Amino acid sequence: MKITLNGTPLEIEPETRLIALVDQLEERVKNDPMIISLIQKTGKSNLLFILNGAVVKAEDLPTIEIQEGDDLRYVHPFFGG
Amino acid sequence: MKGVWNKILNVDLTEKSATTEHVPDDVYAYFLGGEGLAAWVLHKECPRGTTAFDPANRLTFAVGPMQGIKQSGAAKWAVGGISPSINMNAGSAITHAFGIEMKQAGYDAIVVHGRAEKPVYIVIDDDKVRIKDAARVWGKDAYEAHDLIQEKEGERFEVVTTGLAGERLVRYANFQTAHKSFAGRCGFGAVMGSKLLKGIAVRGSQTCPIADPKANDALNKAINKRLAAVNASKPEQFRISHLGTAMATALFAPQGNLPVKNYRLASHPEGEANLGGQSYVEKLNAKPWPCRYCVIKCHNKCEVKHGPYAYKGKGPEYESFAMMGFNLLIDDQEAVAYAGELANRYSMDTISLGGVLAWAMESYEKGVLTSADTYGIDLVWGNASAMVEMVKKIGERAPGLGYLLGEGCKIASERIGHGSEQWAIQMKGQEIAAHNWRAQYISALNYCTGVASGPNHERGNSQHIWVGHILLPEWGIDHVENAERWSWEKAAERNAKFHDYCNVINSAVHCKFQEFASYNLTDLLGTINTCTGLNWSQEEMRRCGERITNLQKQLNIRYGWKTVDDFSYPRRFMEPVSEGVAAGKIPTGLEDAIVDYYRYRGWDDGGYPTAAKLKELGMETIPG
Repeated sequence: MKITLNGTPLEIEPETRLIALVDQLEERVKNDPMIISLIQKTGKSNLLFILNGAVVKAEDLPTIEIQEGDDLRYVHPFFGG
Repeated sequence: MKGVWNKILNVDLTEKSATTEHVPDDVYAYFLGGEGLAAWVLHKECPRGTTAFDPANRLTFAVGPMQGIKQSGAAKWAVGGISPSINMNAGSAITHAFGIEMKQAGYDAIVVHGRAEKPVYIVIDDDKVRIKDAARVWGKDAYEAHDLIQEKEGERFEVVTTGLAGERLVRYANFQTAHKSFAGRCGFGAVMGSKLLKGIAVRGSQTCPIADPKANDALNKAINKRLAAVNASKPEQFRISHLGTAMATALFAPQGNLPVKNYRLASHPEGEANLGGQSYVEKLNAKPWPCRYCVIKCHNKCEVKHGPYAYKGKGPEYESFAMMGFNLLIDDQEAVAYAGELANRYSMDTISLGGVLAWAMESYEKGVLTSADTYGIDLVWGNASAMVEMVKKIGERAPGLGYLLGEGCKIASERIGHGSEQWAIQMKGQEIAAHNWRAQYISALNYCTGVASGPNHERGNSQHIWVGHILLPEWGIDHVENAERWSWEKAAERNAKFHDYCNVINSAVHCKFQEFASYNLTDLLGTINTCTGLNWSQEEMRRCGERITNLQKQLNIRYGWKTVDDFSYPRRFMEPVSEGVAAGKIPTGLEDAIVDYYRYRGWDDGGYPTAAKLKELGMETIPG
C-alpha cells in the first residue's frame, strides 16, 4: 500500500505497524555522532513522529497500524543557529 | 497577484522626497518578494561601479506574501543592498513585527536612496511619510535611539535603528528592532550610517488581501498547532522555547561543528560545560521572548543580576556563543552574554566580531600585534575582560586597532601583514559563520559558492542536512548517510537545492527555524499558494528559488565578482584537527566540487550563468 513519508510516496506492506518503520529509521541514523551523543545524554534517539499532522506519543508507537494514504513525517529534536 | 500590494515606497534622502512605485505582477511571480524583490531593485537601479557607501546604493527593507498572516514564522522580513563587508549585493533577515507593520502600511518594500545632509530618521504612517531630524538620537546606542523614536512617535510604531557602529561605518554593523532582533550579517547598519539614516518608524492600518483567506487560515491553525505540539514533545533540554538556539552548543560539539580557537581545535571542554545548554537557562535566567505569531519562541530575554557582567536584555544565540565564546576560548557565559549585548547596542554582528577578535588574538599570540597595539589590553585566548574591552574599542572606532578591526579581518590582515592573512578566517571580506567545514564538507562548498551574502549559514544552509538533520524530501533530498558528511558525491545538487530553498524562504518571507519543529516544503508551498493564488507545484517553487539565485549571481558579476573569489578560501580549510569525529578531515577536492556545483547549476566552469540557463529560466530579460 502507498503512504507518504516526509512528503514523498513510499510503498509498504499492508498491516505494517508504525514501530517497524521507526526501527528502520532508527537504524539509518544510528551512526550519527549527534544521535550517539543524544542516546548517551537522554537514553534515546529522540526521533519524533508526526502521523497525519498529529504528534505520536512514544507509548503509542507499538500499537499503531499504518493505513493506506497515511502521511508520516519524522523530525529530530535539534535546533541550531 | 494577491498577497502583495504591487507597491514600493521610494524615500530619497538627498532630494528629501517620498514617492510610490507600481511593481508589476510578473516581478513577484519571478522573485516573490523579500530578498528577491530587494535584488530586483538593485538590478533595476544600481549600475556597475555602485559601492556600498555610495549614495546611489539602494537599501531595501522588504516583505513578502506571508507578512500579515497569522502563521508561526511569518514575522520575518528581509533587507538587501550592496554590502560593505563583501562589496557586492547581499541580503539579511530580521524578525519581530516591523515587517508586518510595513506590510500593513501598504508597501512591499521601503527603498532608501541617496544621503541626507544631516542625520535623519524616517516616519511612515500608512501613506504619510516624513523625514525627520535625528539630532536627538544620533550618537545614541541602538536601543536608546529606538526608545527615543518610539517615545516621540508613539508606541504603536515599530522601529528599526542602528547604533554607533552603524554611524561610524563598521563594515559589519547591523541594525535592530525591539531590542531583540537584528539584521545581523553584511553590514547594512553601516549602509544606514553612510546615508545618515538613524532609523525608521512604521505604522500601518491596512490588510493586504490574500488569494484564499479561508484555506490560509485553516493551514495556519494546523501548522501552528503541529509546531507547538512538536516543540512541547521534546525533552526539556532540547526544547526550542526553553533554550532557543543556545541548545545547539551541546548538539554540535559531538559533531565537531563548533569553531574553537579561530577554527584551530576540535573541542573546548570548559566551553561545552559552561556555554549554552541548561546552564544558559539557570545562570542567565533565560525566559522566552517570542516574535509576533510565533509558537516556537526561540528568542530569550536574559538577566544577570550581579557582578561585572550584569545586564538585562537579549540572550545570546548559538552563533554568539560559538564565535565570542568557543572561538576565543572563553568559557565565562555571563561575559559572553554581556559582550554580545554590548555588540547589540553598538550594532555589531557577533559572528563577524568573533571572527575579527579571533584573528586579533591569534595575531597577539604570534607577536604580530603587541600590547602597544592593543591599548595595553592583554589579548590572550580566553581573556573575557579583554574581549569586552575590545568590543568597546571597536564599537567606538577608537583610533588605532579598534578602528582597524571595524574594517573586518580581511582588511585588517592586509594592513598589518606579517602573514596574518593566513589566519583571517573570511571569504570575500566577510568572516565565516560558526559551522565547521571539517564536520561536513558541504559547509566549505556553501561558504565558497554563496551568492547572497558571502560565507553565510542562512543564505545557503546546506549544513543543516547533518547538523540539524533537515532534509528537503519534496525536492529529492530524502535521506543521507552519516559518512556522506565527508563525501562530495551529491554535494553539488544538495548545496544548490538548499541555496534555492533559502532564497524562497527569504523572499516569501519566513523563518527557517520553524523547520526544526517540522515545518516543511509542503507547508511552505501551501502557504505561498493560499496567499498569492500562484498555484505553484513544488517544481515551480524551486524554479523561483533558482531564478533568485541566478539574479543574485548576475548582480555579483556586475559588482565585481570574479571566479577566483570562490576559490580564495582560508588556508585553515585544509588544516586538520587531531581529535574528535572530524579528526583528520579536510575538504580535499573542494576545487573540483566547486566546478561540479557550477555545472549542476548550468553555469560555465568559471561560475558564470550560461545563456542557455538564463533562457531556460525565462531570464533573458528581467521583468519590470
